[in-house]
Amino acid sequence: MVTLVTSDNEKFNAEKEVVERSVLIKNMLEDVGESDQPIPLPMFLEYCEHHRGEPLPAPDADTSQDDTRKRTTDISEWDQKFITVDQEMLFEIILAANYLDIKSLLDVGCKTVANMIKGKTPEEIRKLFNIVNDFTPRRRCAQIKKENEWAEDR
Amino acid sequence: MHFTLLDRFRSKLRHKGFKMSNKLRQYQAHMQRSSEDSNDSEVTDISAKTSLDTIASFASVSTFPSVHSLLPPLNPVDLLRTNEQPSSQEAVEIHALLNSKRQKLSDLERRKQVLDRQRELLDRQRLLLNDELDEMSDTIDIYRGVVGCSMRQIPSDLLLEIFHHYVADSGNGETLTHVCRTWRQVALSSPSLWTTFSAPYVTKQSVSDVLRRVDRVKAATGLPLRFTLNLRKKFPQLPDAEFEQLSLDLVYASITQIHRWRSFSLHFEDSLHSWAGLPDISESMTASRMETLELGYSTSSFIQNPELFPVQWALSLIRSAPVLEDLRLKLPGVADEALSTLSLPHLEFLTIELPTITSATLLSLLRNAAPSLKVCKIYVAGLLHFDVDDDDFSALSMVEHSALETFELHTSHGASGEALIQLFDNLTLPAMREVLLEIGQFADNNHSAEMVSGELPEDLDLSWPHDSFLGFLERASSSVTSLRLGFISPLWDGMGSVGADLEEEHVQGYLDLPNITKSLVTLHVRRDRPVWPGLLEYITLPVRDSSDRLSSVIHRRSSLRSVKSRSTLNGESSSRLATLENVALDIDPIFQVMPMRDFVRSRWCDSSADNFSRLKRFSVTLCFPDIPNLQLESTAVQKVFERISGSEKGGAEKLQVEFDRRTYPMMPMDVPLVSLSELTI
Repeated sequence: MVTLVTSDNEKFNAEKEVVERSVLIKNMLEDVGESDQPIPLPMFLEYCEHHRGEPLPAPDADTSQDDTRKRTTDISEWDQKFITVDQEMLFEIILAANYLDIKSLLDVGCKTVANMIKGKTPEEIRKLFNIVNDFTPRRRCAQIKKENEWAEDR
Repeated sequence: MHFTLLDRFRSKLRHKGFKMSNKLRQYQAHMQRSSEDSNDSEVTDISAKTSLDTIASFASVSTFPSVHSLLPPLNPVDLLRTNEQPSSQEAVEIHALLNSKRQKLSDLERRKQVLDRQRELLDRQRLLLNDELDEMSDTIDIYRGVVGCSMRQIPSDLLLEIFHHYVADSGNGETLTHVCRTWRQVALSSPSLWTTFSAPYVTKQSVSDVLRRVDRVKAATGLPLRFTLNLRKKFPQLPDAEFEQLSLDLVYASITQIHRWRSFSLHFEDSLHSWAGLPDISESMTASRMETLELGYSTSSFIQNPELFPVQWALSLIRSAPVLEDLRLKLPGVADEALSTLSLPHLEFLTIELPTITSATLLSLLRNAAPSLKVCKIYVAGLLHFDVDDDDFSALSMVEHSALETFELHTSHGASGEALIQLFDNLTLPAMREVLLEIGQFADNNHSAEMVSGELPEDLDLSWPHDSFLGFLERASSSVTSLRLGFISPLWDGMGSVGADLEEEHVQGYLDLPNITKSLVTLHVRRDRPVWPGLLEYITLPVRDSSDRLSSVIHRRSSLRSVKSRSTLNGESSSRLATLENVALDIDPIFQVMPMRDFVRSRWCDSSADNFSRLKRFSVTLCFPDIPNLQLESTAVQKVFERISGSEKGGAEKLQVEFDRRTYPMMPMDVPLVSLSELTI
């Protein structure tokens, strides 16, 4: 068993196999070795517990940006429920998964955001994520022209 | 006398005047109370005073009063209750009262107008406040987004990761570049985001988009490209000639980059006839980086013009790819020789959908074409017999493929002659760990049947090649992990099947093979008739040895009720099929619900019987016959299985129950009627 401590000093006990889904924690455990010292980190036990036993990505797995073949926006039903949170929490999960190096959770988070973007116009995306349109007026004109091209299509 | 009478009269009048004064006082008090009640003191005062003055004046001045005037005046309120005509004084009083009331009314109306104006003012203020609240709330959200966790906190590498997921699905990242400067910068800084070209439909816009983007990445020669082209009309009114020209433009644009292809996927509609204009794939054109090639029809309807499909062009495309790893073909027909002469040394995944293929061609393909093949999936309408008398006898010599790990054969209309026997007798796959053989038309798996428009050979027959398949499994890897079998019985005048059926004993025979029984993890059996209490018992109840087991299982086929007692008597440990984790069976609950109930009760609910609980997944497809009046039974059976799944901790996750309504070729005569009261666990 490993003791995890959140930033607000709440303690959780979890099995080593579960928390080792985070590459960061796995490396920490390897660095520290067998110890009773608690490991401080935010909680992602529910996710790791559910995916316990699933094969971890190989350390030398191809993560080059070139490989888009395996990327999709499909998310399993359980993951979808897990990630159904408000926008602020979603981005926190993505950042934490990135920090903890939990590739599968990071994928789920990124896919969710990609799904949110899918089918939306730039203006709708801006509104969704509170993004300011900081293009110059000239660029905006070109953009409007581009966005209206569909109307001329057959 | 006259004076005496007069004095008397005066005295009486005084006395009456006194009395009237008292009445007036009473009246005054009453009016005052009324005025207090009605908050109308001013009017009351006036009227009371007026009445008093009038009466006093009348008492002191009037010397010759009329009989009527001598009577006390009526209270105005009382007056309203009678039909008497008011006296002149009373009329004066009432007029005065009316005036006063009217004055009061106008005063009230004035006050109401003031209040209305005040209310309008407050409403306007409220609206303004609401707007201000919304604005403030939005502002807070925006500022909180700046300091809290929001899109702007996402670093560019993660943003790019999101973009890659988006582009993988949408095929185009153009939209991302129009959101803001940061997004545009991140998107354009990653060339890999622009190497996927997708045209889900043929429109002017989609073609010009692909052409423009291909032009953009021309300079980045180091990047491999991915094309997914779907040559079908989005708008039916697009003229055929224009559609064909646009389609050719797309193909030409992609062909110019053939040396940079990583993957190429081309699907097309049956209505496209202009393949004569396709660019030739010369020997000098090499798709030296292409790993994945997918060619096929996008239509799900019957192909009307299979002869128009450029098979030779497709084959030359395949030949131009020396490092091809994944090949998926859905063709309306291809010459056997063309397939068997292919050379694909790096090919690992092959999926072919064809109307027909001969057993010899399939063997030849495996013998010569793809020595590195790991996964082979064949979907055909019919597997054709190879006539050794007329053809090369050597085509049927034994083929041993040492790399193939997964072999699947789906044949929707069966095979002609001994085609299946020819195939399985002459094929040895020593590395095979997963195998699937499905014969017949399954609802979810009729790819090849869909595309056949012409007549299939008449001698196609649905028959299970048990002995050959058993030999094929025996020669397979020493550790087969997955066995998937499916068979749909054919009809013969509604009375039974023509060929050999997939029987319960066959499956048990396969499970008895040493290379299966010790390593099998997944067993799927799909049938169109009730399967099989004996098989259920077999996979969960260990017995001493195979011969003993087989005979005992056959003996016990219809007697699952005694399963628990036998299990206890045997007292054996689970040594056979010890690795079995996933079981999927088609079960007809109308025929099997009672034995299933007893079986589950004895295995699932009994904690001491760990043979069943070692399973990780037990998937049951309950197939309800498509006959009338079964809704009630179906619902009851569904409830039974719901109870089963909830009867053990974690049981709901382990037991998957799906429901399927199926048309049976023939209904058995001895259908046991199930009483709803018996359906309890």
